[in-house]
Amino acid sequence: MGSLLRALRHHVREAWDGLWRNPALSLLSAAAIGISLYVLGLFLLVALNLNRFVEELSRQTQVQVYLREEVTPEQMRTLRAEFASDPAIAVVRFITKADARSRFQRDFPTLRDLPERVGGNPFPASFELEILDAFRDPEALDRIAKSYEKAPGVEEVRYDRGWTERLAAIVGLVRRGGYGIGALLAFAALVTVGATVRLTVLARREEIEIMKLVGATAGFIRGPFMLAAAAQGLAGGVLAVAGLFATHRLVERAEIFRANPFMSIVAGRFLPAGASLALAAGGALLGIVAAVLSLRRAGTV
Amino acid sequence: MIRFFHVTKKYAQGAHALTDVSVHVEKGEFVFLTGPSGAGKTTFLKMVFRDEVPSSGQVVVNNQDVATMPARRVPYLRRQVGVVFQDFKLLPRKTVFENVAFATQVIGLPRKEQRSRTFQVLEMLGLNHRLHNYPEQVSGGEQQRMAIARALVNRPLILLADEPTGNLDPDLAREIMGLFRDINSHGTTVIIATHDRDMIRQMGRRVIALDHGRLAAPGAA
Repeated sequence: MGSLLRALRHHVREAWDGLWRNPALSLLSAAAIGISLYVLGLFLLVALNLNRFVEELSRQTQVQVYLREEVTPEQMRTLRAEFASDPAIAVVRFITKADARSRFQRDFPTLRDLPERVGGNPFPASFELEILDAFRDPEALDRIAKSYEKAPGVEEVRYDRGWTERLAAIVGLVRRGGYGIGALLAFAALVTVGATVRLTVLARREEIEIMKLVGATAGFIRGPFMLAAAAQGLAGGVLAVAGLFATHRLVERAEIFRANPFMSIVAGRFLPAGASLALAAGGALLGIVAAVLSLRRAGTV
Repeated sequence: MIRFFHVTKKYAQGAHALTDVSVHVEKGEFVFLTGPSGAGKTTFLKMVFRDEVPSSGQVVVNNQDVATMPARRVPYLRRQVGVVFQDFKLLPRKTVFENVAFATQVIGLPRKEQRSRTFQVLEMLGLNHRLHNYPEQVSGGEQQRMAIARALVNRPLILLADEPTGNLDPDLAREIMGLFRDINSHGTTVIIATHDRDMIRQMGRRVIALDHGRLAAPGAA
């Protein structure tokens, strides 16, 4: 235990010395890791917010059952009974032709007088079905739609599945894009940190050679380099999270953010604490991986 | 303590550094390794602390087969073998004290133990008035003694020295040899590579002679 503590103290002291021996290089390593994690974090932030939006949308998933003009009260009663016995349906709302028209006039104020001009009310009456959570997957929705399509008095059944699916696909794309670009930048950071480690090793190769000859273990020699790289990575990760937070605050306060609902969709909320911690820890991990690869390649250690 | 069984060392270019060398050095022995430059003396020494491995044959040091030893065991072998290098291998940016203490530090001795052992060995070698000087500020003989101090500070079972008197005047060389004899008298096995024939005659110890990588005259000189 005592020797372990001594080794640790030695590692910390040597790592600290190493970091300050060439501060510019240490800073460069931290910055390289910081930038890669910052970009990855931006994509994650957008993907997370979009995802939240998609979930919100799919919570509102509804099935619209449009009725024929000539639908009879008898057919409507039958439909209601079927809805009532369908385990997937939570709420049923009946929208009259008049309701539909006033909704249109509310949503498109510039076209208020369109219904009159085309003669009367072209909007069909409909049932709006709110679907229980458990039946919101595409297959279940499809089954519900199919089961009412052929019912007497029904003109058409629609649901907004296409919308949510496309959005979900966009979220996936953003996330994959983030991972891709993040990985690319992480690779660049690995190379930078690796080069820094190699330069430090090179500057101290005399000392390292003697350490090996007098019986220092590989772990004892490598420890300080790995610790220094981990510290650089952690610093980079913390900088990245701080930068993301600052960016988020800046966007949130900007005029464009309040004026444009799209911005609140893509950047409404900051990363959860877990993700922020993971980014910072990821920086440290990146540093260690770079050091291990570099030390292995250097071969002298 | 040290056994070479039919050891051959070929380098990549096809040159033979050692050819079929079989030697046994007993615990507590004092042995000279001699031969002209390029005879394989340095290669021989390097095999003892596994800086080189044989191309064929076997090297056994303190009951450990050096060639097949896993890499993680090598540091522990080296703690049993103190080496005085021909070029000393001192760190120019560390003081006399730090250069010697360095060896105790890297094997993880407690700090107090590091200091007391370092002081002890520096005193024994007459360097206690040079503690805070840097290598370039001390004489060649003192640098030589620094290198010996570092080799001894971890109390090795075996001490190897490669041409330790090569650059020294005869008086100083005799003094250093006396030192090795003292160290040997405390039980440390000592192997000294040298081509100084006068020195070998004066000391009257066993000689292993190498010539072009082959054993020339095993046994006493």
